[in-house]
Amino acid sequence: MSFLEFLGTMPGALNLGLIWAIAGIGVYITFKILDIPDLTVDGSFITGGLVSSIIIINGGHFMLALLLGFIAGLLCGMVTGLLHTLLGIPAILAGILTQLALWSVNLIITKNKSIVSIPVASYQTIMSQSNPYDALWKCVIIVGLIILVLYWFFGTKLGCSIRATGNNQKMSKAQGINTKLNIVIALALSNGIVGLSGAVYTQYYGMAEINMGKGAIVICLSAIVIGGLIFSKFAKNFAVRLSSVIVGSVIYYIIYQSVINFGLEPNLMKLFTAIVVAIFLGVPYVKRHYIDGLAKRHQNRKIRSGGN
Amino acid sequence: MLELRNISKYFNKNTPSQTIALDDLNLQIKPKEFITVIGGNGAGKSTIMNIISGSTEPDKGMVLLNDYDITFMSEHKRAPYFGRVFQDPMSGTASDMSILENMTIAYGRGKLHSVFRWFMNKKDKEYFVELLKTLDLGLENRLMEKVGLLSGGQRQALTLLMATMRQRPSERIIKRDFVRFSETDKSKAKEEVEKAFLEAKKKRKEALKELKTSGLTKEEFKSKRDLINNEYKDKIYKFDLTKQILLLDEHTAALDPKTAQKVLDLTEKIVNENELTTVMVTHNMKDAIRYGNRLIMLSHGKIVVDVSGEEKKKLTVEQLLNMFQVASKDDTMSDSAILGD
Repeated sequence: MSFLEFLGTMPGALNLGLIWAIAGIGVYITFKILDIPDLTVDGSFITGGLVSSIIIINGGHFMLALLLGFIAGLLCGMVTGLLHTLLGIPAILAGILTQLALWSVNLIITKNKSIVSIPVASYQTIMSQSNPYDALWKCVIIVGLIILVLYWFFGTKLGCSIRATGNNQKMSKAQGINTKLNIVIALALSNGIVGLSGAVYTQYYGMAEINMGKGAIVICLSAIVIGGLIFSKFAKNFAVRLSSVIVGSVIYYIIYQSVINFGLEPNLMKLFTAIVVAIFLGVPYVKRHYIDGLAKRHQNRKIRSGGN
Repeated sequence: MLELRNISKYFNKNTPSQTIALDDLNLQIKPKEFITVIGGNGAGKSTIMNIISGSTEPDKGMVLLNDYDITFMSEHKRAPYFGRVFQDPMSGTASDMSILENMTIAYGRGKLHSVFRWFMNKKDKEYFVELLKTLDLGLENRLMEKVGLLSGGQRQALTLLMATMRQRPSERIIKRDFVRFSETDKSKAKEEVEKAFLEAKKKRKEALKELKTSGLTKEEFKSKRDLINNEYKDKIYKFDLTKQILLLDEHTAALDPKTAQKVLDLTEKIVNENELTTVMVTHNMKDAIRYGNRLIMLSHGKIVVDVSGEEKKKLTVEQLLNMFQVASKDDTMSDSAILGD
């Protein structure tokens, strides 16, 4: 493959990176702000996408499809939140339960079809992969808007109390914050954004598939981790930290696309993804414990042998 | 006034390892009392605090706040009435948030506000700086720094400030809880409180109008205006069923002696200045005698010593230690070994 051909695939990678960045930002709310690993994402991403594609096929406007995709995700998150707060099920299990249930719900939505396709010729969508440059600026606008809205939201009294809830529940309760309500709100909002991401994704691809969200949580987490690693030194501002997710997601997809371009078998992609995420998750630990530790040991050895 | 009536609390209930934490305990806390609570490990000190603040429910008995039953009121709903400082300096503040954000959250306690309002406020910020200056720790210059970067003593001092910065609920909370606590007719209570508030507001408005046209000098005007405002507040606060109670759960136990002393002095200053009702759990007998105007000793979930006023002032550590040994004859060895230094 020539270098030009390789460059030609980049807008597609960029678009995918930006679309997944939306989901990444959603996961950021639970993973970083609320400090809860939420596995509903794998389900709510598909649900958002399926709902939006069904709306479009039935003649709905694409903006309405996006909105309903968002709301579908919102409801998924709410279920997880209620399972966690009302029934006291550990958050990670509540997420898995919702995800499991969503598999059947998704099949009900599609009326037992595994693929819902939206032919570009007959339906209008917000963006399409056949026009990647048009999609690119639309993606940038959507992501920018979401970051703006979230920046505002987490600066309000409610957002601030959600941050406090994720940070220190004991303190939050003592300060009169309804932590259970806040957890439900944050989980709903997070999954709503993930559902929106799924809706954009299906409109971009022109089809929704029942399996497309598998491993969504891993992609989102890798976006957060990669972005966090790159921005760790100078990300103090909340908007900058959210933007780091975009950078992480885009980098992930550029690596992904490059590897595919260099001829890696698609079946090996999941293995590759896991390895990439493991590397990025492990880097800070390896640096702290092995590289810095070795240096310290070396220093001590030097002192001992030189001193006496 | 806060009252604990016949409170019992068991741990591991209905299992062979059932232990009793509080045993039919009765306690009345009157306004402006500063109570120090001492007792050995497992005597039930922390359980009392948890039951008052609502983080655990008693198995038997009632918690009454000004004769209103709050036994099963959730923790965050009773937060307006209790300022709390915990033993662990990490517990009282959100470490990933800035000093300013922490104080803003604390300032929102006991206040119903629009949830979508931007949380920072220039006027509030100036007030926070003033408050932080009283701590004399230089925190007023570090408003934007994360609380996680502060030392344990600084965090405890900040938590103390946060627990006491809003001592009176806002008007809306007063209204809400007057209705909530009225046991007879809720709609009647609502009408009553609304009417009283409206009347007070109207009266203040008229008085201020009159004042503006009266042509007084600036100083006179100011003092008169303050008088009118205070009169209004007095009327409103007549419906306030509560005044905040400060709960200190061994808040200096995790600090080094010098810092602990500083935090304790600060506590005394804040409590005295604001005439707060306070309950302080401590492990240190000297502190228990030195601070406060009433002393309670717990043993096996029961109050064994309760002294106040002049009697408490005369108390010495030796006397207290004797009392403790008499009270807990069964297992003096373990407990006195811990308490006796």
